Amino acid sequence: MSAAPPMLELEHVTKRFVRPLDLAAKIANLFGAGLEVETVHAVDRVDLAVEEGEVVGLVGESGCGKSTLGRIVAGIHQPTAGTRRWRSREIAALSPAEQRDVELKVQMIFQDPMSSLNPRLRVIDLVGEAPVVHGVVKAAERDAYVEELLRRVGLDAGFKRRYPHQFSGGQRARIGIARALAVKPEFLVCDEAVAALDVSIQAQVLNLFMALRQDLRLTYLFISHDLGVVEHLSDRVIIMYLGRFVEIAPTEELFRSANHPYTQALLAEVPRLEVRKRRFEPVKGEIPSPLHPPPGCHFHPRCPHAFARCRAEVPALKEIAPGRWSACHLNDAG
Amino acid sequence: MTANQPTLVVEGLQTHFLTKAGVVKAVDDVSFTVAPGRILGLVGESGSGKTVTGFSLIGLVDPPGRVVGGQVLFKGEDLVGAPDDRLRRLRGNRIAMIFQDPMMTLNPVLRIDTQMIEAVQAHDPKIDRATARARARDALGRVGIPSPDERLKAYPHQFSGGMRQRVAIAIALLNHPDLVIADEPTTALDVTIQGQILYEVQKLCRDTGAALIWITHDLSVIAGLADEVCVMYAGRVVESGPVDDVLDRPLHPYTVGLIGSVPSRNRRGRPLAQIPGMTPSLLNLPAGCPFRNRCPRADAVCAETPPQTMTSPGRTVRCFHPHGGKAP
Repeated sequence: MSAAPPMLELEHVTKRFVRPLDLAAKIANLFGAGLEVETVHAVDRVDLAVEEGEVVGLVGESGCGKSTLGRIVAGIHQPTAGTRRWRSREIAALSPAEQRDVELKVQMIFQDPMSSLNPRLRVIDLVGEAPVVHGVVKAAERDAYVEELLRRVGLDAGFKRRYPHQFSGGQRARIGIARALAVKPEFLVCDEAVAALDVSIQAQVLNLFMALRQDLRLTYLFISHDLGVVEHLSDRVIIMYLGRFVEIAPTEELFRSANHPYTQALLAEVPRLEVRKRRFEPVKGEIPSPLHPPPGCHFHPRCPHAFARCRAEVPALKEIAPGRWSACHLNDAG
Repeated sequence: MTANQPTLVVEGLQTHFLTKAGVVKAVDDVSFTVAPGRILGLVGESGSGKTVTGFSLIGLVDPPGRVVGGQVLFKGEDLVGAPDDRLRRLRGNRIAMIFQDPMMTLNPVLRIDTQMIEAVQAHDPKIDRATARARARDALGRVGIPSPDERLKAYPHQFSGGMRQRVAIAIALLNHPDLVIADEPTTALDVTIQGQILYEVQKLCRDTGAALIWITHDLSVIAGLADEVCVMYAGRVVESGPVDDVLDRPLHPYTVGLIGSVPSRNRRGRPLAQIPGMTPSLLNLPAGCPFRNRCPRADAVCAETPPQTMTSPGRTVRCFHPHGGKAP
């Protein structure tokens, strides 16, 4: 990696969701019911470094922990273990005022704008509240500031007095983007930001993301299950499976020659315009429950190449070529 | 059934919703044909009328919606205006439908075996329970559900999303239908699970010779699956033809825009060719081409007359200024 420190770093970050035993369960245990605390290992010792100006794509199936990781990056969830650094300073060790500054620099855009926009607020309040509260603009300048933001995301400034339900899905997505941009962030976490949109509207929003990246010099963590979208936007792609990274590679290399069997299976399943009347040869099985992840390599029950070591030992994420990382025992064998 | 007779011929189908605010022409003069063993892709964005088209075929449109014109010929029999009793005997028997959300098909409080046996016996009361159960088990096995005997006793909530969709597909295929209408059945699923479902569906079509209508917004799925494709916009089929022709040499500007909107390998990092604006409201849609406000080729002609369907061999397009073709 380059000499400059990464913009944002995660080191050995783990997130577990624990459902503690309720009173009834505790009483049942007194009589020998043997109930146990349920723990979901959403994110399991993950290291991530995002350079300034980079677009990192994070891909995985539902339930693999990619949204949880995105929320940790954005500071919405606190990790159970591990450290989070902003420009090589540990965020948890900063003063509250400095922490606030960092949180403003990292903003998040959510999948469903209808559930992330308050239906009872007008656009002017949705977009204009945060910058006034955080002192980005003075209250008197709010209207002009919001109009400028709306124009930037391709909306008519005359829409500012409308409510969210008066917009179409694509326009709502733009409002969500305008709101995130309102506090002048440097880093955007986009969690399935275009998943709910029609193809032609999705293209418009993707173009907007790329234009904003150039104009405002933004850095993105782009979370999606759609490999086509990630391939189009990202410089680097991370493939996640059941709470762990299985492969990290520059986009072109990943799509040209995937190393990990899971990435290969995933790429084979992506429908493409160029591929006609293909015979679908699916990967077997489904993603296991994160409540009871399989031992060893999480992918081994579905992997066509699995051998004894995969069932016993967790493969480490190793650099197999400059800038390319993969977590698979097969790389040791050959 | 003769080899040449198409399973389904739809001619000038019109479904309108008569609302207080006005008439919504959700499906307006839609025609297509599906032959046995063939897969027709019906592509369109939200509000293009693709789902209502699917519902209209088997009389599932509820008031204020109504099929107001056209013909739906299923093996020569017109289903528009057919008595409810007749339609009920066809649905789930000769014609099956798979919905986007399998929980729409499955009753959450009944076990899978109860529902499947009911679906078999409803259409042929002479079949006894044991035979019906065996047929249900075979159907589950065919769609790739492991240990079908045990899974028959499970409730829908005990299945994952992908498994539930398989059960819905198994139920649709129980009575070996001649026509299957699938409405976005893989949209909510992960790519690996989608791949599994597409694999099963493709195999079943090939093996049983059923005709399939696959309704989706995803052109890439159609590319890999379908034989023919109809592109819908604002209630009309704007372009149709064999998949290779339509995707490689699109004629209608909307199809061109739609293909340009799909992120793909050879345009990485460059702006996508986007279609400006958004889908028009179908309420009191003005005369003329509904796409003209978003179309780079539109001129005065497009505003006046609704464009006619123009047929070249095996292909139709509704446009005055098609790509690659000469203006009429």
